[in-house]
Amino acid sequence: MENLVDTLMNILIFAFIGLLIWLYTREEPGHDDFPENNDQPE
Amino acid sequence: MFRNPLMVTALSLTAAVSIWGLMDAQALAAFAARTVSVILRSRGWFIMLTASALLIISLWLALSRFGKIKLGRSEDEPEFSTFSWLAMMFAAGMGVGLLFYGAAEPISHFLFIQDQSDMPAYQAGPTALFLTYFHWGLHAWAIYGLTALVIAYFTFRRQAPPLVSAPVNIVFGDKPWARTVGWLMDLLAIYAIAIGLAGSIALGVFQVEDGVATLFGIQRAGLGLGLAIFAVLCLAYILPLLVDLSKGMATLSNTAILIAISLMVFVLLVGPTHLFMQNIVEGFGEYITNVLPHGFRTYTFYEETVGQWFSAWTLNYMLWWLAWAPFVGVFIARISKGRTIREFILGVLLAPTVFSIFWFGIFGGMGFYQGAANQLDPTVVQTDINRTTFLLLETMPFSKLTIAATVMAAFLFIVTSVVSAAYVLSMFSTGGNQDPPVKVKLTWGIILGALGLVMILSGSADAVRQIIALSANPFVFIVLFLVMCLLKALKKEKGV
Repeated sequence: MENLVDTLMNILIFAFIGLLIWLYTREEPGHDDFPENNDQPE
Repeated sequence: MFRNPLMVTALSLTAAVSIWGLMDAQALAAFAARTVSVILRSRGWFIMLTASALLIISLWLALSRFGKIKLGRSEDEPEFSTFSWLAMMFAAGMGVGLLFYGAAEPISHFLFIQDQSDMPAYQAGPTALFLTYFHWGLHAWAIYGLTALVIAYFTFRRQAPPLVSAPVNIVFGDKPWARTVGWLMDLLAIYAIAIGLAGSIALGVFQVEDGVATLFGIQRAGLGLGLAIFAVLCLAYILPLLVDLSKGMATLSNTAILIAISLMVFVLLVGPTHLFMQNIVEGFGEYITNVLPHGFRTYTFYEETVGQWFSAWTLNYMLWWLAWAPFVGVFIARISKGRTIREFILGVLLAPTVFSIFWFGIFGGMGFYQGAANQLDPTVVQTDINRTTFLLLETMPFSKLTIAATVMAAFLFIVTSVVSAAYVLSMFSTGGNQDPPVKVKLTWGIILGALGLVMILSGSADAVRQIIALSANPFVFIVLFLVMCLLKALKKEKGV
């Protein structure tokens, strides 16, 4: 039982890491356009 | 006020914990200890990896071309001088914990190392100090700093409300899943802030209680003195919630940090100064050499007692910083407008870490010195940890004055923290309203007071830490999610 809980809790972490990588790499069309009137860094 | 679902859910959740704790504080503490033990056993590696990853990402952001990006528009200038900025940040991030653990933590590690190994004292001392520096140093401030950076970037550069959910909504747009995730993040942030602050109230009350008992030679019996101090504390923070005393609160916070610095300088000069300075220089070298590898240490092949120590101290600290991250993050973000990412990260990481090395080097060094000279019984950290600082000060000149100053600083740290937390909680629960209604602030003030009382009734600093760790656990995921949003937004801004 203890090992099952441990396994499930770690699977959750692996899934979360996968989700983060997927969200980071995928394109978000139409959102997050940076306001043009703000300064651009050099 | 009660038409806002987030507000109602957050109030219900925190009120439920308060009621449970008020009815049976020991059961709540036992539940927290059991659950936290399971979580830390399974996820200890992930917590350490997260803390180390946050530090490495911070350093990379500061040194990369993103470091030149300003937190605000090009014409925005910093509102506060660099010294005030660093002092306020430090007071918010560490506060009463420094007074509480200054000597107690290095001595605790020292005793544990000596108990577990045959390491001689000349090695156990520096190792104990290194472990303390590790808990209060770069990793802690990377957790705070990156959370604050995400909030500051989206608030000042992208004109979003200063909410934990704002980065998700800006980066992923108005999608149902993004709204739900954002809503949950706000809820968990409110919960973590409320529990974290309540824990700080309890630690502060334990500290003040022992200071008052030492000062007036009162024999402590039961909870009477602690509850009396708690009642005075409640009266002291209710007034600033009713009227706007923002400048007054900044003065109180600065007074607390000035008292703390004066105490540190006093101990440095009155104690064996050259020993402290040797301690600090040696500790600094040890720290910068080993800090990064130590961040990945999980004590896999050690005995179970070492694993328990690792959970009780290192992992608990990392969770503690995570619990405080939304509160301290919002506060640091508010005072950092107009600074570049590089300036922000280097300031947040380096200045408080160097101060912590001085603080623990001096108070921990004094504890070791007095222990070796038989002026202080080091086992006090196992029998009555709250009294350590006062017993240490008692052996020095002007002890009444320094103990009174410590009590005053602890009291001021708690009052300013509770007032600031009530403000941040009100702002979060009213959709980012930067001038939340008095009745909302008052409601949060009462909830924080009730939760603080629960923590006091739980009776020990250890129980308080377990309850905080339980509430902070989801924040490991939330902070990483926020950092992913920041990196995605920066990538887009630079057109990478």
